[in-house]
This record gives sequence, structure tokens and C-alpha cells, in this order.
Amino acid sequence: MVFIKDAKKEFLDQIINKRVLVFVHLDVDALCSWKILQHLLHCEHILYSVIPINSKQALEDAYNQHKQVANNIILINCGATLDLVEILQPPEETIFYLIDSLRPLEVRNVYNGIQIKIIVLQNELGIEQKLVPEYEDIFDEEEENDEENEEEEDGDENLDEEEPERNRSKRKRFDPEYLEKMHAKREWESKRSKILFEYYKYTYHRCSSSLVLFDLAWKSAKDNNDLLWWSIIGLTEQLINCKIDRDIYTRYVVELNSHVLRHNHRPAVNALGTSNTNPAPDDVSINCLKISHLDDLNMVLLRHWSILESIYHSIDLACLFKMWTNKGKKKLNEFLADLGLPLNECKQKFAYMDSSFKNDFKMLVASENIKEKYRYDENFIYLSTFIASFGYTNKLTAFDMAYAVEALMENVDGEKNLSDKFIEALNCLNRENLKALECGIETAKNHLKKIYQQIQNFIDMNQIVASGPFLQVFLEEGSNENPFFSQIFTSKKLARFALQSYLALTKGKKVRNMPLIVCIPLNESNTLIAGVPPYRATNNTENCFGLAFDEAAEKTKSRVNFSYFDTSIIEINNEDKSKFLDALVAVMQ
Amino acid sequence: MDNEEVEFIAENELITIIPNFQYKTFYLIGGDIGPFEPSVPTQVPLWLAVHFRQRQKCRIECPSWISVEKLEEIMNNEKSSELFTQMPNAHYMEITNVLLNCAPQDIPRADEVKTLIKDIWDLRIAKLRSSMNEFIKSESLHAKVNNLTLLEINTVRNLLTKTLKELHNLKQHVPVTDE
Repeated sequence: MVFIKDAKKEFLDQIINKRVLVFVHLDVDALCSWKILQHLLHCEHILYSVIPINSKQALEDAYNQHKQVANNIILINCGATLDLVEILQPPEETIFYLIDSLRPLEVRNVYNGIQIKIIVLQNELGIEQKLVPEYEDIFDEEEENDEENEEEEDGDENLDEEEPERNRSKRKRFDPEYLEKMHAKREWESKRSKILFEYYKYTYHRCSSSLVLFDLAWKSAKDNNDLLWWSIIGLTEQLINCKIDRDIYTRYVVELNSHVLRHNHRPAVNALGTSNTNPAPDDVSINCLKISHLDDLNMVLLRHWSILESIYHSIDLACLFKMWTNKGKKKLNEFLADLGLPLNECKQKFAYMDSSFKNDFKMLVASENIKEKYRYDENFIYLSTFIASFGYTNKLTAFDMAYAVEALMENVDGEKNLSDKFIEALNCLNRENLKALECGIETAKNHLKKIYQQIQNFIDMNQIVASGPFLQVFLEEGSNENPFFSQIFTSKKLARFALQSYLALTKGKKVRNMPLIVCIPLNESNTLIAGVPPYRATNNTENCFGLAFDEAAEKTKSRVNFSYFDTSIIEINNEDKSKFLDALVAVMQ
Repeated sequence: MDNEEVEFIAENELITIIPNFQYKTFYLIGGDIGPFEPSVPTQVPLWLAVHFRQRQKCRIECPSWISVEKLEEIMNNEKSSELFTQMPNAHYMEITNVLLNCAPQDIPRADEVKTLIKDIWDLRIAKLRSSMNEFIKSESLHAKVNNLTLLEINTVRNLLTKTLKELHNLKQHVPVTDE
């Protein structure tokens, strides 16, 4: 096992005074992790180069281009699922440090031991180890040695005649001991393939990388509020993109809350609570970042939008009201009327709303009769998160930040390459940079609107159809929005929202357990296919499409490109598409 | 000389830090620094304190005069006095500025401190301006001011010297044209 037991000693202390090369995947969690790591590197005066990447090919190219720079390579949210030594062919002195939330880990990485070191959350070390198959079950040292020996022998014998070789094999064939050994080996092999199949069956995510790095910062006594805020944003992104489910999210929130309380400790106003005429003045400067825990409403970008629009674009609420139908729109109006909110108030920005309505709103949505009438519970309408404030600006929730940063990365307007997006998104994470943040939030709104519109189209045209064991939906060719929807996270978001809205509008038990794939034409020759697991309130994170895509592609010999680290998104040649989908139906059944 | 240079000079002032690491004494041209023991207060120049603080290797112990009570007292003195009063530190403005930027969390009631320092500064600069005005109008040849800090002198230096020079020029020329 090469899970690092003590991240400070075995990782941070190892790279001091050395140059490191960091590859960062283009997602919010990776960016937050990078910000935390960057702080640690600054603290230790470590020289670094950082390269953003978004696909397997990009990793390979960037590695080959820059491998002379450094022998210590850190990969954030990329590569742990690939056989790195095989793909990158690194020289012996190169060491890879992997921090990745994507699972399952490639077993060869886990058991490499020398060149590849995997960093996971220290107190989850045991669980992580249990997830990976035992070494003896998947690697046969004897066999490997044998093969090597045989190869050597072969090499020698090639020069001689073939006679002795044949003799030897004959001798072997009738030796009972040898036969028994072969039998055992065959059994072991079938067991091995079974274990590996079970292991690689689902792709899923575990603890966010930013949390792993925050843990490291904390243990090296280098943590502060900024780092904590980034790790919160990283965790939030995992929930937004359904990388982890609500239960796990809540567990981490509780864990982070203890850090929040530690860093944002305020002396009690008055120990006894007896009324002191003037409350203790806030000791900490207004310019410091302050974080506090909050049970916020489950509505997207509420603080930057109007209530009406926020409800429209929150997928959970939109599904509750079945917002894509006329009846649904009426029902929403009824809901707002029941809350006693005038429509014109709901249409203006939440921040400018009459404060009396604003204050009541949060309480009212959770009142008993409303909850009963609209059939939801507290867990549905409230979402536990953190809120940050600094300076004299608006307060920000972790969700706002995560949406804004992701929008900047998934933005396709304008000619921006990977590094531009990377820098822009990093800027947005700097709290001094309010302009970038505002721009990010506006972009996020636009993106949500586009997705909403697309879902409306799907539903109006009945485009979501069941095909065997899964649902599928096709985007039209030549639409202007296709480049936007083909972004990694947007494509998945679209698929998830489509699935959820379809379930909200369709009765019948059969469809409840169906996954969904969305096909987005990229250009004349290629189509992007993204698959999401069946929608469930909990535990909806294990994705089985990776293996299914792989199998279907193999069966039909389709030209499929698994270009992303997430194997549930593939690019396929248009000519092979229909036979691939047919094969997929067969595989999934 | 500009303000950055004044700040640079101020960064040589000693300040107390509480390190969280261990290191032997090191010898610089300006003097020996250290040794560092975890949670044993040590005096270091401000620039080094900032450097350590940014890398989270220490906590800065706020100088005793950076406190709301003390600064209020100083401000009241300054208000009531005709002359410039003595400041707790010759670089009071620069030091608080640097500290507020780099470690606001180490300063208790940082916002109030910031306002107070700015108030004191404004008071003194206003005093300086009015006395300059008087000085020039009275056409005296020299004046003596005590207790000004380097930064304060620096803010008026350009203006004052140039003004005096121009006045001098004018005075030299006026009688000639008259005759």
C-alpha cells in the first residue's frame, strides 16, 4: 500500500527545497486544493510550476513537454485512475504524489510503492485501504518472476535449436504437480478477474481533495480562515455535481464546522448572558474573513437573484412544482401567495427586497402548514452550508462561490484557452477580487438559464425516451449551445436535471431506477455521450457507465475516445453511434 | 525620499513575535536575531516579523501602544495641546499600517485602532499645515518644531521647500522690477 500515512512527513517534508511540478484538473475542487497547496508551498519556499489540464491527452502532452523541469510531480484530481507508470513512462527518480477524489484508484498505482504515492484523508486511511483489493489477490509475484525468467530463457534459447524447448513443455504437460499448479492458477485467475470487475464496476468520488489538503495544512499548523474557506468551497462543489451525496456532505460539514468554530472563535458576549447594555465589540477587523455555519435555503444564488428566478432554476424546487408545465407555474404563484409574498417583491432582486418579507421568508417556508401542503420536509428546503463575510460587501455562501467559479471554467463565450480560464477562476477564488466574482455569478446565472431552457425543450418535445434499461436524450445537431453543453460538468448537470425533471413528470415505478445518457453532437464527426446514475435521494453517486461504455465499445469496435478522467463521459464517432447505443442496451441488460 | 522608503526604514523597528518553530540565532549586519524557541517571545525587525507571519511561523505580539485606550489618550493629548506631542513610536503610522495589512487578526479591535491612528494622523497633519501657513505668513527665517515623525516631515517636505524657494525667488525679483 502506498497510501501516505503521515502527509506532512512523507509528502510536504519530502519536497522541501526541491522543485515541484503540479498538474491541476480543471474543476472547482481541484482549484481550491491548488490554492491551499500553493499557500503551503509559499510557506515552505518551494519553487513550483503549475499546469491546468482537463483531459488524459492533455496530461500526457503536458507531462512530456515539462518533465525535465522537476522530478517531484503532484497531480490534483487527475490521474489516480490511470496507470501512470505505463502511460507516462517516467524515469526512475520521478515521484508522483496523487491527490484525487475519483475512485476506484488504479490498483497498479496503489501497489506501486516507489514512484507513486497517494495522499488520502488520514482518518479515512483504513476505509480507503479496505476498498482496494488485497495485493495477493490481484498480483502473482511468482508468475511475474516466472515470466521474466522465461523471457530471459527464451532470449537465450532463440539462438539454439527449438528442440530443448519442446522437450521441456512436454515434460511439463504430464507432470501432475504441474497440472495441479495450473489448475490452481486458473482458479486464482477467475477469482482475480471477478475481484477486479467488482472493484472497477462503479466510478464514484470520495473525500474532496481540498479537504485532504486542508487536513495537511492543519496538521502542519499552517491553516487559516482562507484555507478553510477554500476547502469548504471544494466540498460544496462535490455536492453540486453530485460527486457525494447529502449524508456524506453533512458529515463533512459537521467536521468542517469544528474548524470553523476554532478559527472564528468570538469571546462570549457575556458569560452569564445577563444583559450588558452594549454587546462586546467585535474584536476582529472587518477586513478579516469570517465564516459561520448556516442552514440556508435550498435555492441557487438566492442572494444574487430574485426569489422567483432562484426557485425556477433550483432543480429540486423546480421538480417539486413541475415548473415546466402551466399548472406548475400556477402552483408556484400559489405557493408564494401562501407565503404572503407579493409577486412584484418576488420579481426583484432578493437583496433589494423589503426587509420584513426577506426576514420572514426563511421562517415561512418551513412552517408546518406550508410543508404539509406542498409535501416537503425541512431537509428538502434547508441546506446546511457556510457563509462568509469580509469588508463591507454582501455575504457569500459557499454555494455562490462554487457556482461562480465553475461557471467561469465552463464558460465557452469568447476565445479563451485552458490557462485563461484557470487564471480567471483562480482570481475569482481570491476574496479581494470582487469583480471576477460578480462576473462569475452572472455567468452562472446565464448557464442555469440555458440549462433550464434546454430542459423545457426536452419536455415540450418529449425528447427524453426510455431505451431498454436506460433513458436517453439527444441534443439537436448544429445548435449554437452545443459547445456549451459539451463541457464536462455542464453535460452531466444537464443529464442529471433532465433525469430529475423526467421523473417528476412521469409516473410509473419502472423509470425510477433508470439511469440516463445524454448525447451532444460536438462537430460533424463526433458526439459526446454523458451518463448519470439513477436518481435517488441518497446514495446516487455510483456511476456504472464507465465499464458499460467500455464493454459496448469493445463489442462493436466503435471508435470511442475516453478522453476525460471521468469515464462516464466519452466521445464517439458519429458513424458508430447507433451500433454503440444498441450494444449499450445489451450490455446494460 | 518617498513614502515607500520611509516605510522601508520603519521596517527595521524591533517588534515582539511569538514563534512556533525552533531555530538557532542568526547573525545579520544589523544585529543578531534569535534564537527562536516555540512560544518564547523574541524581538525581531518588523520586516522579518511580516515574513514569518505570512508563512504562519509566528504570532505578532501587538506593541503596547497599539491599543484603543492608549491611542485615545494620545489623541486627547494631541487635541488639547498647542504643540506636537510625542508619539509612542517614531514610526507609529508605518508600523500600524504594516501590521494592519499583514496581521489584522493579531491586533485587538483592529478597526478602531485603524480609525484612531488615522484620526491622530489627521490632527497632526492639520496642525502642521496651519503652523506652516503661519510660518510663511509671518515671514520668519526659522522655526523649530519638536516631535514630528519622519513620515510627517516627508509629506510636507516637497511642498514646503518648494514654496519657500518660490517665495524667495519672488522676493528677490520684486524689488528689481520696482526700481
